[in-house]
Amino acid sequence: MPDQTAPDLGRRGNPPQTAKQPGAPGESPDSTGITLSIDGRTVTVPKGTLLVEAAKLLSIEVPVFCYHHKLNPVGACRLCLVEISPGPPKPQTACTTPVAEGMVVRTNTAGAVAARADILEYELLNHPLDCPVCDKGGECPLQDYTFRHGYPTSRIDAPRLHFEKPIPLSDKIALDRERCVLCYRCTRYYDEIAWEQELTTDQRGVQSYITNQFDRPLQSIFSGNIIDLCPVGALTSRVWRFESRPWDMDHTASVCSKCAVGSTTPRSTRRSACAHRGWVASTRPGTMPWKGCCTTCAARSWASRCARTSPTKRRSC
Amino acid sequence: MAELRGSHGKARHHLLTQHFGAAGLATLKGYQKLGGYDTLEKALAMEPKALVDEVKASGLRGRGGAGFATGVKWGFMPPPDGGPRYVVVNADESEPGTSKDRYIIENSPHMVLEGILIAAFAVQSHQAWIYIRGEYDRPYRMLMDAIGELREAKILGPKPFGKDYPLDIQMYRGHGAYICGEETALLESLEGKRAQPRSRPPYPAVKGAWARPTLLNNIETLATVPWIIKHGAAEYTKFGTEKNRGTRLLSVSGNVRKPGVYEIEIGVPFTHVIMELAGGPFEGRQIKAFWPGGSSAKVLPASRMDVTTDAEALAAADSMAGSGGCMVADNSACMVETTYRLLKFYAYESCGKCTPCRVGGNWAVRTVAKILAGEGSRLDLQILDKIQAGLQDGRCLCGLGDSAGWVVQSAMNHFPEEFEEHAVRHTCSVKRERAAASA
Repeated sequence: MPDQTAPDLGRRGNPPQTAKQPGAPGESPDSTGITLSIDGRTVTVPKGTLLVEAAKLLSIEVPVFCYHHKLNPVGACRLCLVEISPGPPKPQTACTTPVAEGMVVRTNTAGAVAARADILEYELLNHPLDCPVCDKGGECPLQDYTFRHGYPTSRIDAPRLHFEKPIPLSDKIALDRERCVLCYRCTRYYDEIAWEQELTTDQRGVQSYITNQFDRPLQSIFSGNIIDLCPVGALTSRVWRFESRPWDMDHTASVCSKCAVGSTTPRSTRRSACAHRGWVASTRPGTMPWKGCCTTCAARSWASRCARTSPTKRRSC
Repeated sequence: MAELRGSHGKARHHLLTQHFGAAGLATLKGYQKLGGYDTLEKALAMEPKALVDEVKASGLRGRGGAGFATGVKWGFMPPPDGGPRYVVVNADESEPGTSKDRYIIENSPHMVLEGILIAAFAVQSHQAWIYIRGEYDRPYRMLMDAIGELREAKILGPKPFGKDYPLDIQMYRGHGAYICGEETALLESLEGKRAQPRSRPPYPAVKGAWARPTLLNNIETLATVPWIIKHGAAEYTKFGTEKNRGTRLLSVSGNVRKPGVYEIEIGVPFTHVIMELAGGPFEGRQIKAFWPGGSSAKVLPASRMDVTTDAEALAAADSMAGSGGCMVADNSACMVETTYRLLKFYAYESCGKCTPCRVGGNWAVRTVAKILAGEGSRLDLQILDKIQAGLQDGRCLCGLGDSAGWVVQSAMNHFPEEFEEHAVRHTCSVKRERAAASA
């Protein structure tokens, strides 16, 4: 459970949207929150905001895998290392450090840049690099971050570790353990949001892997969300595997019609045919984060409904 | 009776080990005959704050590895708010080369328990937990017996020594993971979760076991507390160096004649510890290297044996005092092989939570294995150097990753020619010498 005294950005509400340019009329740092500088630009945010969120307001990319604004921060992937002064001379994780008045954050020092590149190199060490057949390819943070923050060349010639794959976690979700970066978003989702005990980690060290508890298939009505949560192609929809590439798709904001909650959900279309990819939109910023929504929406039924729907009616399917 | 391989008997600097070996010391009766639990009675009559101040004044520093000032740590505990608060004792002594806690528990379990109870009273806690590593079966049973005796004697219970201050100690056995020695991973394990370190802050003093204020101390640290309270902080500060007061137990192991646990006054040089207390190397051998504070401390060559045992001198020599596990290697040890074995340990014991330690440790093992197999090149040495740099300086969530990096860094730093020989020329002079000697 999140600390009640700390501002709970993860559970309720949107990330702070109070980015103010310094010197804007009618604002003083005392009344609006905490002013800090990131890469030489100042930003004022509410107390308790995490550095990674503050950087987001300035459109400064601090890459993250394990951080998700609706989950408690863990600092596991170590990709968001930045240099903070005043503070220890070591780089700190932006995803676990709350802002402080007068803090000076540098994301572009030689140390921080090297730290990010090294971590990405580690992430890729055992990654199968099967991007051409990966469902995530084209919208994968690991790809994007590697292009933007990683080393341009590879020094890895060691044999990669292999796991059996893909493992069916349920009749709708498949797990590819080789692609997994072990950000623990899925297990934390189960612990913190779904409050169910179905997904866990087994073994330790480099042999760690995500697995379903007691080898039972996932039963949770919330299980589909972990596909959306996964930052890489480790958790994929078995219904939608290998069906399309992300750049072929058009996305439209829509409302789920399967239950009375009416939660927002993205509708995706490809070449005039409706395709269901998204699950519940509650993991996306700016939407109603009610964890109980869309419990009855099963991808299979969507897929079968979509297949029957004529192209002209695709918006309403 | 435990076999006494180390300090015991009367000596000026034998504060902890003075009575070790005395008949019946492990029993409550035997311990009380030597003045045991008098200090607890005295402490219960004192103000908790006075106890904390006394420990602060003694300059005692944690003996678990980090060397943080114990009194200051006690002072970090927030004022009581009516809810539970815990003392958790780290008896998960898993550092390779360290066996001092076991030596203390097996000789005088009651000394440990007395220290724990004093600490519990000082930080206003009623419940203490001893997290002991699962492999320590005998120490576990001895502590259980000792706790049973205390319960029977009503020293543990609602009114110890007639004071209305309930005290209790519970035991918890670990299941064999090195990472459980890390304080936050220990707390996770104690709570029944996967032993993975937590991101700090919040520190355990604010939010520790079951999200309540928790004091975490090592066995040796708490075993020293009764002596300090009994004789006073001023007496304790007569030992050791200015910044490192007192005595400590060093577990000396490896290629020495008399391996054992020796209590030394902090500040004596390692030459004294290795050559005199531990008897020096075997006949015809020379000491090549030593790890002054367990395998996590950076290795030092034999030429640096003049370095003293205080944390400042060791830090100046680019190593650390650590947990006091002094491992000695003589000239029959190939440093690349030694590095490989240590690295394998760190890679195997990585909990898998943070990326650098999980992947980097394994990558380093594979690279050193390649070099050892005679398939390496200069490029592999460069990669190895890059990997160790990527494990250090706050890149990892806890200290385990840093330690794995230090293993490689210090060995490559002090013995570059051996790595060069293996990687570039694909030979091992140590192995050749060993073969020649046995032929």
